[in-house]
Amino acid sequence: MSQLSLFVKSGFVKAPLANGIGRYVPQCQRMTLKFCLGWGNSRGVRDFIQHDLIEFVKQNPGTVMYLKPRRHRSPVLVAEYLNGGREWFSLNDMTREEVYKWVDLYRTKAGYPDMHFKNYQHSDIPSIQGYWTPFTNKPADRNMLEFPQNSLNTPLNLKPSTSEIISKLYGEPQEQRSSR
Amino acid sequence: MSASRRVQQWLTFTRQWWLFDAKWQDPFESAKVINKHLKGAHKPIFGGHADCGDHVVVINSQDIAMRGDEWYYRVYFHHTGYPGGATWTKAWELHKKDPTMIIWKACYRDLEKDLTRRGRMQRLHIFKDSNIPKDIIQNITDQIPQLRTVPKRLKDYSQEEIEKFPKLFDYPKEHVLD
Amino acid sequence: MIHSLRRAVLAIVPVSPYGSRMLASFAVGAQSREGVPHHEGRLQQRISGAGTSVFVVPHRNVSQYERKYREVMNARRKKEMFVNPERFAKPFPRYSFVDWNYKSELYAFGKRLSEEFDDALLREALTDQSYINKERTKQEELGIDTTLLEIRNNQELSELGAQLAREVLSRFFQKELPLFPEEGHTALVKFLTSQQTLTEMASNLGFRDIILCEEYPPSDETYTRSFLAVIGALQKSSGNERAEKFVIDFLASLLCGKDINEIWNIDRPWHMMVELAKQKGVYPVEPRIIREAGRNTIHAVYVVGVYDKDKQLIGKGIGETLDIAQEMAARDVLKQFFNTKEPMPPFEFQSANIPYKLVPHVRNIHK
Repeated sequence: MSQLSLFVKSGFVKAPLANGIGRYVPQCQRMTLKFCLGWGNSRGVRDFIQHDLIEFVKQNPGTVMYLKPRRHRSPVLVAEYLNGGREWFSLNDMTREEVYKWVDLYRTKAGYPDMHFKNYQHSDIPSIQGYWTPFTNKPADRNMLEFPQNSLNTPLNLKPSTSEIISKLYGEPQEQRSSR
Repeated sequence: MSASRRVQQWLTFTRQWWLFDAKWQDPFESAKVINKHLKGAHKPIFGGHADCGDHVVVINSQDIAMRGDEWYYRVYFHHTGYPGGATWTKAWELHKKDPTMIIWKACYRDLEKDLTRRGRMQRLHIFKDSNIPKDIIQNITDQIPQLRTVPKRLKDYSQEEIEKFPKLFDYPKEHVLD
Repeated sequence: MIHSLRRAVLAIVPVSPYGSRMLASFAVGAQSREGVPHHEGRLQQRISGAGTSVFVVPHRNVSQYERKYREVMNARRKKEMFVNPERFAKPFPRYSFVDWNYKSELYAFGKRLSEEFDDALLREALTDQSYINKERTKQEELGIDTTLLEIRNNQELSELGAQLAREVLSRFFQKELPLFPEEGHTALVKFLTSQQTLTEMASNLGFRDIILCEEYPPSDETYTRSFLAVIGALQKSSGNERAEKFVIDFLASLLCGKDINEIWNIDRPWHMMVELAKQKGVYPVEPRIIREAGRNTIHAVYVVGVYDKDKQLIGKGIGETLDIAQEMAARDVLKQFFNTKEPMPPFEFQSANIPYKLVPHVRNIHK
């Protein structure tokens, strides 16, 4: 999914009021099922109400469920959340199973508008070992030195020169040479 | 943003001042290393969105080295824009006119050709010798190691060191040393 | 465009019961703009004679009969907006909708917070004085004896709740932050019981719709008073222990992700640090520059370390000037002394934790 969409905002995951740290509060405060008693496109919703609604409401006492029959209109789910968010979802021509799954999804949402997550994790303190600074792992003597320092001019990964190799191979102590 | 986070960010993005001794260094090889520091590419926070380039102070730019005859065949072209305004200046000529120019041009050419180039070049300070103003010396935090060692001439060795060096061969008797 | 307009006008004429003269003059204007001369009489004759139209009716997004209907409705709406602007400016209160049951809402409110409330007490906690005044006025207008109106407002309960919240929180911080000074505890409690914090809390817990008050949405004062009153109502309904757990779970957890050293503003950190160092026996302390860069530029940065009497580093601070760096170093030492250095270990919520029974997502409903 592109992050550059004009319509779908992008952001980080968040929870309202540090939810779940002290105790968990379900965020869906009420749901309204609007449906028609006669038309076939509300069939799934009617089946859901007939068979599953009581159990669903018992499992989720924190969510108030309103049923709003209305004549000759397509079925709709409106979910309202604690932070003031409101979600509208069409249940047109859905089967009982589909209705159950969608209602269940809207029960667990937090009420923020759908967004593209830049990251699935978020932390206020991303680094345990501390932030990087230009002085991280820098030798402590740099603050005391006077520049320019010849000792710091030595190239990295310096290989021995030919002269040094010869001295090492054939060089002898001074005494031996003078005695020869 | 809290005060401690603010100063933390200030420290992370602070500009460092590096010293580079150009004595006996190839200007074109050196430019790559200098530019890495001008861009901030040596930092873990480097990226397209981070303005994290450092300052580089180059000293002894008059003592740069080139290979072989490069001083004679490397040519800098300039055109004034008027008819007949083209000039071709050889590297040794340019270096004679301004001993900081060759390394400046080498860095300028090596940087990305975009809007960041001029800003990064502003953070490059070139001096022909090692006499640097005091207020610049005080800023410096670290030194970039040279790419090659400065070669030592025979006259720089003491007589004792010369005698100590192992003798690899003898000259024939007919060989005349002046 | 003019051409199509003319075609449209001519096509309408047979079905239009009035205004053929007006339409004709319009068509003349349109055609004369194209540079084709026409006599008005001639054109009128042609139109009146056009009993059977041969012109194709062009495509329109809005049909003609619907357009008239829309014009009327727009005019009505504009008039209504002018006469009664509040209706359009203010959001509709949720309780004014058809699908609204206050009793169910109160039941769900308690269940959501995993608490058992006494119904009358909860109603009292959510009743603002402005609501009572409104009801009284309404009844007086209807000629009902208002002395029989027995509704209590949430003033008493909110005072009770505020007192309880302050006590519980200060006890909690004494336990969790034993090295943090008394002033710091007070500042934290003040922050957590401030109007701003409680308004944010209440408005994110669904108080917006269930508070009984005159204005909508409720003001910050109403939010604050109602939230504190709910704490008071909980104490009266379920006892002291549950109320304390409620306060800690909801209010103290707000400190998660916040730097508590920033909530308490220390005026003279170096002075305080020296005083504490004397008490701890590490005096004399000495600040020293341990890092610096770009001294003569506007991007200068200094890192100042604080060393105690044994020449041990006990804290360091960063700043763009030496004064700021020294002050930040003092703050850093104070964090060491108070044991509040970031990242802090989380508070102990386990003792007070009441897990809400989280129902998992449905996988398959076929039993």
